[in-house]
Amino acid sequence: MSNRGKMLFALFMGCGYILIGTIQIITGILQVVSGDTGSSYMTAVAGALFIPPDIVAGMILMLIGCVFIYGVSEIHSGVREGIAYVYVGILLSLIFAGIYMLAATGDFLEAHLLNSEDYINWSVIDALRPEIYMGVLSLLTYLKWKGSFELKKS
Amino acid sequence: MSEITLDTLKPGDLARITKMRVKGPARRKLFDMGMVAGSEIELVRTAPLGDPIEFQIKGYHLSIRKEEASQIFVQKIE
Amino acid sequence: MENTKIRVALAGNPNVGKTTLFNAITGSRQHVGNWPGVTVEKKTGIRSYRGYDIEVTDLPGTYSLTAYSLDEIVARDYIIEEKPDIVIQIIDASNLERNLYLTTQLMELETEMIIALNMCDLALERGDKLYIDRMQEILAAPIVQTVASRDIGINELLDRVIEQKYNDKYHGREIGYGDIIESKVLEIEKILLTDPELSKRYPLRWMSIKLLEGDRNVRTKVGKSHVSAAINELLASIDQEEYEADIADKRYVAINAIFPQMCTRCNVRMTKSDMIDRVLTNKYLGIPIFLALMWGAFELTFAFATPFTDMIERIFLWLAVNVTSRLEPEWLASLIGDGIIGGVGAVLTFVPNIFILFFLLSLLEGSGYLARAAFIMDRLMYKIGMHGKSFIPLLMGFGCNVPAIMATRSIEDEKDRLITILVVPFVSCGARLPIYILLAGAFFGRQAGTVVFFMYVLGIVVAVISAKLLRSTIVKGKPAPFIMEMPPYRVPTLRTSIVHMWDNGAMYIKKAGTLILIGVVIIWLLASFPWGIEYGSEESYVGMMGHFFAPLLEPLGFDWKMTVALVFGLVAKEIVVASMGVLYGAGDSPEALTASLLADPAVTALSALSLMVFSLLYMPCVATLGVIKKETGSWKWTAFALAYGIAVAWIMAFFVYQGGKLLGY
Ligand SMILES: Nc1nc2c(ncn2[C@@H]2O[C@H](COP(=O)(O)OP(=O)(O)OP(=O)(O)O)[C@@H](O)[C@H]2O)c(=O)[nH]1
Ligand SMILES: [Mg+2]
Repeated sequence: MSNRGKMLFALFMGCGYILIGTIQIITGILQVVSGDTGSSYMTAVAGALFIPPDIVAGMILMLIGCVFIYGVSEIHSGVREGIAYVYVGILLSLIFAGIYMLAATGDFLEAHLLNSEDYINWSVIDALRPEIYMGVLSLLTYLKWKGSFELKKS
Repeated sequence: MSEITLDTLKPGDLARITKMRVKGPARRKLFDMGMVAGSEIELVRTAPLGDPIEFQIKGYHLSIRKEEASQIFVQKIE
Repeated sequence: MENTKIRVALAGNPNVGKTTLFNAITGSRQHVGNWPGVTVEKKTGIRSYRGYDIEVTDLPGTYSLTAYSLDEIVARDYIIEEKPDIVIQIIDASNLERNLYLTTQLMELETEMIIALNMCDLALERGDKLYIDRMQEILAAPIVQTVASRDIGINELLDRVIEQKYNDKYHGREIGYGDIIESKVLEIEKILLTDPELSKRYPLRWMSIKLLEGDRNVRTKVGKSHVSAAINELLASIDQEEYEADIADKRYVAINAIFPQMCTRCNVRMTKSDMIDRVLTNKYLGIPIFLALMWGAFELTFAFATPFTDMIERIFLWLAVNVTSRLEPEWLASLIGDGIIGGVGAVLTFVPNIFILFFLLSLLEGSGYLARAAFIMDRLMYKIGMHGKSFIPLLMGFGCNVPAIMATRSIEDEKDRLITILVVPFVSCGARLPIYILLAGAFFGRQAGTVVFFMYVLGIVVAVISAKLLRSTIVKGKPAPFIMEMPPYRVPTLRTSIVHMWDNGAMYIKKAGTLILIGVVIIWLLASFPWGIEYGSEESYVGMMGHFFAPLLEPLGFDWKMTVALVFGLVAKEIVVASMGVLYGAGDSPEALTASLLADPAVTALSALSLMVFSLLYMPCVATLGVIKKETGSWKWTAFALAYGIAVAWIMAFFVYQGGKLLGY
């Protein structure tokens, strides 16, 4: 697999993560400041992309985005080891997807096994977060490129 | 070929140790870890905050601080 | 008939898989982790095999037979003093060259030796070619290839052990050190021979070489003999530093000569491990990634535990409704309801969090990231007067402070180690978690997670500031040099992580059923007497006790019940929650505890916060104090840890409470 493909993928993922992270941080701040997220243009976008307001989670998304973008810049400037950033970006993306999947499993158990009052209105859609669908993208890409993340030492 | 100290290498540089001038208990420890004259050593990376430095020597990775590295003399291998 | 006993020691460099092999042979469950310095004590286990009792001793790892840190001393002393029948050196096949350095020294000890070439899977996967027969010939010792983490090669290794037992003729090889050194060795050997007792106890050649190297331990051994004057005279006449360098040099020269015959490396690639490291120790991304991973672990500890916690709460609720309320006489119902379910139940509710916490910590240890954390943080740690390696015990402290303090044994410098021991108790361990979850959950609603996270951060910050303080006052000096091997990243084995989680979780449960239970019963008794008073009222003994201590803690916002909880919490921090369960719970279930806490006007969000801060810092539990005493060997430092903790906790809680009040909360 050419590094060009990896670079494009990393560019896409990097921009995606940074964009989503930004929205998440802004809505998170809005929520802290005004108590609710109101009905601004931003919250509409956030809602459409299943982005819950959460400052810390937003910062983590931006961080993952930065890892990808760092890789893009290295590959672009001819450093072959740049694919390391793509590899680790995918790993981080999978780790955080895993964390929220497990958290969702917890919620699911609450709602359907324990029938907790707090979770009466919980549905699987509530579990969907950017970490998860971005993680799925990473997983698919990783499976496709599995063997190609190795470099011969020059 | 001029002698330089280990901390002046750049990531990816390969060198051969010529003299180990570290004193105290660390001296022996460094010997044990393979920092003897004649060993090939490569600077792998520096830590995010600039110190310590990670080297590859004898086929494994070892990290030491700049302070010790500056007392180890090497000859660069081109 | 008695089985024949064979005593075997597992020696080798750190992190080569000694403990993994030990567990595989004896079926034990000792702590395994992917960083150098996991094992700090010797552990013994027995395996019966083909009619033999093989007594295996797992030792801490050591790079050389000259020891620097406490754990290395344990290993060295065992091999030299206890003289096991057979020493198995475990060699990391993917790191052969440096591992052979220890081999050259073990050979000089003239003991029976077997070599277990571990991690063969990694070496082969990387494309190395290992020439076992040739290796066997050169080293004159049986060699067995093993993959300890997958139980491969274990039986063959045991077969060799039994064979070697009867192959009693020692036929090891030694390396030569060149004319100059060898002539000195001969001279020293001649002197040593005049003390027959000494020369019978330890191999002559080995002693001579160690003396030339300036090994302090061997020098003390010789110092007690009548030959010591002659030895000292001889050693004074040579440039020891020169010899030291020369001997190490000659060993590596010898290794260089034999190594290429034993192994050839086909292609060295940039491995996955290198790739990961490139990013995780990146100048800009390294530290943020570290924080993000910590936060993720933290998030998971809570999010995934909730349903399980709920389940446990429901069980207790069911018990309360169906069993306790029907019990006769009334006092028994109260003991079980108020006391045991209220108290022990409150502690048991947090078992899921504890399990997850230990599972995640084990993943962290198994991945190899801990060594990187030390590497990344060394600069910062150095600035505050600590050692990069101290960071590992600090992180382990999140689980339990006791093993964390034990782990400081791998820190070479005494002062570095002392400081680390003294500040580890500020790191928030699993036992403190229930206090936060209970109080933050009750009073901070949606912000609970953030509040708890900041308790963890506060613990670390206090630890760090205390270290700086100690460094600039009582324990002056500079941190010792940082010399640390960076192991490759590995995928943590699920088995190891589950065992680690299970063992530690079981310990928590056991503690709840013993120590905490006793505490709870005592508190219940004190809350029920003297005769005739209302249960848990101010007239009871606990009430009196609370009022006695209350003036001390009143400026921090604590009422008498919180005071009692804190006093009993001196024994173990879980008791804080347990006694609150006894005193506030009013008898049904852990769930009701939250409600009655909220209903009590004496407990506000601010005093709850203050209570969390105080419980975090105020005193190492009894077990931790015990291990501080053991590891520092000094009552003075133990008392210091105790007094300092209480002072810091009082001051911090005072600022939180009074500051909060000033701000109008
Ligand atoms: N791939 C592979 N990994 C192994 C093997 N044996 C052990 N490991 C891993 O190597 C790491 C170190 O194992 P330990 O058994 O803790 O090593 P140790 O020699 O006891 O280390 P110290 O106690 O620190 O001296 C762990 O992460 C193990 O899972 C093996 O044969 N193959
Ligand atoms: Mg071990």
